[in-house]
Amino acid sequence: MAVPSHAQIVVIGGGIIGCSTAYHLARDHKADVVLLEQGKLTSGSTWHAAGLVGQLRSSASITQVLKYSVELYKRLKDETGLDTGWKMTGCLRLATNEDRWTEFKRLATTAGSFGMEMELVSPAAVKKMWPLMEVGDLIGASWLPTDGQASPSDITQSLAKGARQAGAKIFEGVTVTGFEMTGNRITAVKTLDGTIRCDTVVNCAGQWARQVGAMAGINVPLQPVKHQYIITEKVEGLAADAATIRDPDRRTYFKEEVGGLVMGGYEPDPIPWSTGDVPGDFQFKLFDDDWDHFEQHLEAAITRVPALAETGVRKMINGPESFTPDGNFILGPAPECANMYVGAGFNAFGIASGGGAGWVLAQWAVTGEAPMDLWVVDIRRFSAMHRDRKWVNERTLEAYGKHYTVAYPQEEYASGRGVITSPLYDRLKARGAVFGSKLGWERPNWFAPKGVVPVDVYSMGRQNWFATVGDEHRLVRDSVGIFDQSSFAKYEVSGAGAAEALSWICANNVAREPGRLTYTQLLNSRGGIECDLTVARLADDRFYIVTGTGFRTHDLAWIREHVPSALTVETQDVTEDFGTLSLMGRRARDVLAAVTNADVSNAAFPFSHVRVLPIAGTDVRALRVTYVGELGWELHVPLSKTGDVFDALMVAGEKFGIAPVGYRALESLRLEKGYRAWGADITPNDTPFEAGLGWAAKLKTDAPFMGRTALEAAHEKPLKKVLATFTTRDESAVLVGRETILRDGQFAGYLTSGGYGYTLGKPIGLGYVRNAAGVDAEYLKAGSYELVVANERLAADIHLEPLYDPKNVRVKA
Amino acid sequence: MKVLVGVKRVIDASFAVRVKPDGSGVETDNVKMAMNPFDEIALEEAIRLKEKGIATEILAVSIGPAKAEDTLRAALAMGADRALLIEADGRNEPLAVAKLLAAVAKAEGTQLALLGKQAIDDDANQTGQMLAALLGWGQATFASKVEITGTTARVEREVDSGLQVMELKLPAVITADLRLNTPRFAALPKIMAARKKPMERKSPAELGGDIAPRLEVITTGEPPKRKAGEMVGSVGALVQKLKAAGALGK
Amino acid sequence: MRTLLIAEHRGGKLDAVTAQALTAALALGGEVDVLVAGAVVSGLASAATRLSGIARVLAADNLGLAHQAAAPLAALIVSLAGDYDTIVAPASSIGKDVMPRVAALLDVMQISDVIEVLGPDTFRRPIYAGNAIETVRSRDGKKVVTVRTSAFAAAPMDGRAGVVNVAVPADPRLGRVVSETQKTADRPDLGSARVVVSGGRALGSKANFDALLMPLAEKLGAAVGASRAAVDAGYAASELQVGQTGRIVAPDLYIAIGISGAIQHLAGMKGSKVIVAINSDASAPIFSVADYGLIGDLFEIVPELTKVI
Repeated sequence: MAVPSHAQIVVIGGGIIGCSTAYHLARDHKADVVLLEQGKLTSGSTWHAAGLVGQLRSSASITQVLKYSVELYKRLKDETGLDTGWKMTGCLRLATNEDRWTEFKRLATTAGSFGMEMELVSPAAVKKMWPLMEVGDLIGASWLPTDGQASPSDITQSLAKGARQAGAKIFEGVTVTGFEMTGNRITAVKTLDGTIRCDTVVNCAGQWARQVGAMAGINVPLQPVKHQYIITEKVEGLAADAATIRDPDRRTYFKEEVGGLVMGGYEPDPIPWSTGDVPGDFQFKLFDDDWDHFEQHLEAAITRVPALAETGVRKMINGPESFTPDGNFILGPAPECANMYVGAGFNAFGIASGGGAGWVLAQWAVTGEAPMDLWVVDIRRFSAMHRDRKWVNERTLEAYGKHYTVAYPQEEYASGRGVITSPLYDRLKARGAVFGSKLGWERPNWFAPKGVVPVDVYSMGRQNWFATVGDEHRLVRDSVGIFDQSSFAKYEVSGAGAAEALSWICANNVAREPGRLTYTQLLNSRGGIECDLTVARLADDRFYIVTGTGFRTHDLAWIREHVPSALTVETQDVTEDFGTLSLMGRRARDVLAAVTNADVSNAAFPFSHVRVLPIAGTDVRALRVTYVGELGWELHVPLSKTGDVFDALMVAGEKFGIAPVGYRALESLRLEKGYRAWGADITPNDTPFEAGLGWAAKLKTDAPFMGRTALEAAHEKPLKKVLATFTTRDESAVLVGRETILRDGQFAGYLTSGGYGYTLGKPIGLGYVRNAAGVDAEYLKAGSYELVVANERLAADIHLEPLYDPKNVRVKA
Repeated sequence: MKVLVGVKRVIDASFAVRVKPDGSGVETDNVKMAMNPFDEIALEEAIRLKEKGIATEILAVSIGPAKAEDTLRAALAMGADRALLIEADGRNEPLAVAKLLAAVAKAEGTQLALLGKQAIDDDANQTGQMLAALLGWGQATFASKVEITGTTARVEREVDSGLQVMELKLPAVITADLRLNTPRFAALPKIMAARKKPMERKSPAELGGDIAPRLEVITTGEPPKRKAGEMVGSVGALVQKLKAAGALGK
Repeated sequence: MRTLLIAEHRGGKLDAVTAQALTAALALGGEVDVLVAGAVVSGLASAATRLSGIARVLAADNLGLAHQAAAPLAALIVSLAGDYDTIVAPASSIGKDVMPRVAALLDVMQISDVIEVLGPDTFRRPIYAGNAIETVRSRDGKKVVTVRTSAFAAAPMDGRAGVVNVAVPADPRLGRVVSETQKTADRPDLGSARVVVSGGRALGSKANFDALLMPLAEKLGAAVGASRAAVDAGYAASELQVGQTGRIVAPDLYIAIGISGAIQHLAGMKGSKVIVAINSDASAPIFSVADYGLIGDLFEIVPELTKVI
């Protein structure tokens, strides 16, 4: 059977994700779309998925995506005539210990923040809803009535039919063998049945996504894992509309299925499937039953549902499901290719995600922009290290094992550590550094003093490092500290067109004279904030950009994609060429002056400037900028010399009690200044005006820049949300983010960041106050506020200015 | 009465098999395996005899690779009392299997051997009959109903002409056909308990007898493919096509 | 090289499968004798003499062989086996019952369900419900073979062999046949009919099954078959079941009515020359093997087809 010679968009993969994407492309965007499936629709992972649909995740956007799925599954039958089997059974999550209960209280609050009703119910209430359940060990449960279950195959067939009805062409039995490419742009998809010229490719190939992606030079870091569940015979007394159950403390889940139960689990020692290539003909196939491995779930299941002791097991399903190193799926434009999008790696909630993921992915592929903040699932959150299959395997298996564990704040992974270490690693370790990892970098979170074990002890309350971090915080406020921020992503943008290019893509004026350093956002076409970084002009045609560790691939891709092609510009990733030491505190100048003979007085080296200083025999790029609200410099040192510079600073600062300080102190310091964190406080969903960053957009000039039109249009109208700072009056409150903001008792938004300010002695959070009718300073000041913290209402105060040194006296000293 | 049930580990019947392109056989890597469905029926019948108080002990026996232990544990979970694995990798032909089972039956004092009528992998339909011959016992194949009274087995058999009822003296071999019963599913606690039960093991050498294969498989290939058909829109069109193809004959 | 073919007979007549199995026996290349064993066989033996290309008919006459029970029949065959290199039987329920017993008594392997004879010791046979075909060579001195007769054309009846009476060993008395239902001879036998009309679960009841299929079968002179689902539901007797573990058929024309086409059913009929499928579900797997498919309501289509044919 021949395939068409041309299509606007080719979707590869006919599972739920591919069919949903094709459906939305055809229906919402009238795209000319061809879907290629190597076997038959659903024959990879979709056909054997368990079919639970849970909507609530820790990201507002993802929750929105999942809610959309539910709405779609409900209406598909009317649209296509094919039922999806959607049943709104609701979902009960069981808590058997205090930490879990606290997690649920926070989850219920999060649900409220995202517009969903999640109730916390008593064991007696659970028993009433589910008489067959043993509830003696429960503290309670969370109840989300709008969750449910559906049939993965039926959903997919319904979506496929809808796609065909809207003009999409679906071909089964077609194997993609490669791509014709010009540079990094795909010009055609090669198959055994012919070649299809196309504008865009969407890779929804499931467990084959990595292999398909490799043919276009992109990386998709997913790992297929063997996941098992059983289907039992009819269970007497089980209601047809029984709620789906998640029993995370026992790592198991239950779903009603034709009068019996589906039961599966997430064990701590999962078995991966093939770190090699997945054979193409692994269609509608399963692995052999592994009762030895499943045994750990059986006891748990019988204890929870004693009726299982008498019920026969009809079938055991052991099939591959694709998981990712951080438990979030993978979506968006692959940075290595000009026109391949990816939708894969759904960590066993592909059925819940399928409808919504296809919806947003279709829009992304057609417009080139994500329709909302999808950072947590963005494919550009990975970097070169994710090409290491062994690393991906280890970290993914750990993530799988954590699927049902209590998610403690600040929790760090144990596997795959030490991928990138700064030259300071050993020195910091010797000083008691407790490291965390971010995009492969080992980063000191805090420093355990002598006599304190250098290990995180997680809990839902204040953790073991709380007091020590306070000491680090105070050292920076009162004297001087050094942060090892070598993990910062760094780029050099050079060329004759560099200034013009950066002026276009940056909202602020970054093309001031050489020596100037500018903090700026990069905006999308909706005026939303895609990047948040500093641009230092080193020369007429050379710029040095510094951005957050985790944004390394994303920001670089955004910059390269939007630099006008007519300009002569080269952008290079120099992240691992430089170590970064942030010297911060009122004594910073004293220390700096002692290690360099350059003039570092305020007159010679004002705030927001960059100079090259000779320190310890090396030329160091000193950026006078701060993320902690003190006098200070980010010193960017050629990597190999980082240790020497650090040693020199430590000697020079000894009399001021200088010490290295960690990222947890950084977080607390920046909250006191209200400095925004991209991905949390500012996202592609938020414009500079909403985020209080309007001053950083060069609207007073005529200069055109990306997002200007949207900003100007928005300027005419009242803002629907504004970012503000909140403190609770209760000094012991633990804020982690997503706490609901109540204004005069009404829902008004939720916190995007939460923590504690040691100088203030108060819990601090940042969050958008929302009002459809408009938010301004008047409105903000007129309300009386509460924060819902772990389901409890606490009195709170709003602040429109930074809590610490609002006039920036320290910063500009 | 001691009952022996033969169980074989085969590719799960719900999956399409893949013939290896090099002709060396059928793909068995990364494939879900299961107890031969006819063996499940045979085992179920044995368990029902036990529940009626007729069978006193059920011994499930499998000749196969080490992983056949999983199949035997499934048998224990369903209700077999003991399980014996005779570990033999490679191709175990019905004649070899029958010889090994005969040795076990003699040593155990088995009074009734219940086997599935055929294994869904080799489709040989021989083992039960061969076992009966080697033991000098009567046989009742393709059983759709079994009644045991004293030392007589009354067996209804499905044959080409319809149904045949036979009476056999025990000891005897009965092979199970599809409609003999619907096997039960093992309950979770039984599955768990079965994992801890002892697994008896004997090697083919211990049981004596030559089990080397007598047949050599030269090649394994795909069946001929039918050419694609066509849809017709009406009875009239169908009849026309059939007449044209000569299918309505004389 | 000498081959002994075990004849199949019923109700005093040679069954058509004997002639089909003979084709396979002749393909071995040696001299073929045919054994006719039963309670009263003189008429049968005489009919057997007309089988094309055979050397002799062996007649074994004994009441104990009346039901072709495995123990006495195997004992008879084994007593004759010394003279032969290969013993062949149709893979009917009798052949399947008896021949493995013979093989074990001779301490040889049996090659079951042969679909092609490549040489005196090399055969092709289906495995995995016909989803794979294996070519095997027997190393045994004597061979015991059952033949999937639907894969062979019937040998003609133009021979003129002689009859030899053979002694029947004592019945080992291991069992007895109490009763046997004789199916009515008004329909051609499923195994050898030229046309088969087969019904599935969609027919909904035994009454519908009979009411809709019998007239059509009558008009076509066809045998009637059924899917496993239809038999399980009680719409048809078990001996009508077509499938991997029921009857394997290969008629010139197979009409599948309301049969979805499960793999094990296909295994029993995909050797048919022309397959017609009538089903209301366009995605039914039966259409993947059908030469002609008609989507629609069988309750309307079948009566219309019966009228028009």
